[in-house]
Amino acid sequence: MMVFPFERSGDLMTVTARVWGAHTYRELILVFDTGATATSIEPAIVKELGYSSSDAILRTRVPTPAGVQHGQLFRVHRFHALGAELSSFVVQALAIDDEYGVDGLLGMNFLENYNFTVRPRDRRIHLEPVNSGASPTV
Amino acid sequence: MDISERLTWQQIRERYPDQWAVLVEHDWDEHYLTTYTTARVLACGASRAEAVARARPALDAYDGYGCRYTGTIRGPMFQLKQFKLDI
Repeated sequence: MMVFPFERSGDLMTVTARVWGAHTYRELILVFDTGATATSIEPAIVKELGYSSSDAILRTRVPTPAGVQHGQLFRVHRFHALGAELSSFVVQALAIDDEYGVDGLLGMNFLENYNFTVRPRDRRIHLEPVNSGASPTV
Repeated sequence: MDISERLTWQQIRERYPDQWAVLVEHDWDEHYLTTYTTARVLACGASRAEAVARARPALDAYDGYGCRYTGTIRGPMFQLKQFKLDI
């Protein structure tokens, strides 16, 4: 069992993550979001790490009240969150307005590697890896 | 601006309120690569892009960095949670 802190901002739970390009990494603040299908990151961050549209494996479309927003799926070199590091992890590059104050969402394509318990009052997430996709670092 | 001294996240929020701050030289926990106690602020801006642009001349000296908003995080982003493959 691993235990990780999260931060609360209003009703949101945020966690720190890291994503790597070929040469550098970025620290990310992601919303812990069991309602999100994919882990999504602001496209400017993905681009700055050296990924380009030619690296995208699929395009996505997200219905919004203002219309359809387009995103792209990328397979990043490394991704680390909640004590687990995944290689060739798929993230969605999707515009996240600055007004939200976060870099993206930690979605179910990451969280499905765990059984987890969220303890809001303790501001802790208890995790138990359950498949071979995640490689815990502890 | 000059790079700050080492600050906790709470200190950063108090000193640079409601803006985006580029953070470097985190003292990462050796076991949990996403946990740190202090970092230095390299630049700030009203937007993520502005903060990174101000930090850009010095960023090549670092393997990585973070850009965090020091104000209240808003949401939720209901409309961004589900996608369909565009094929």
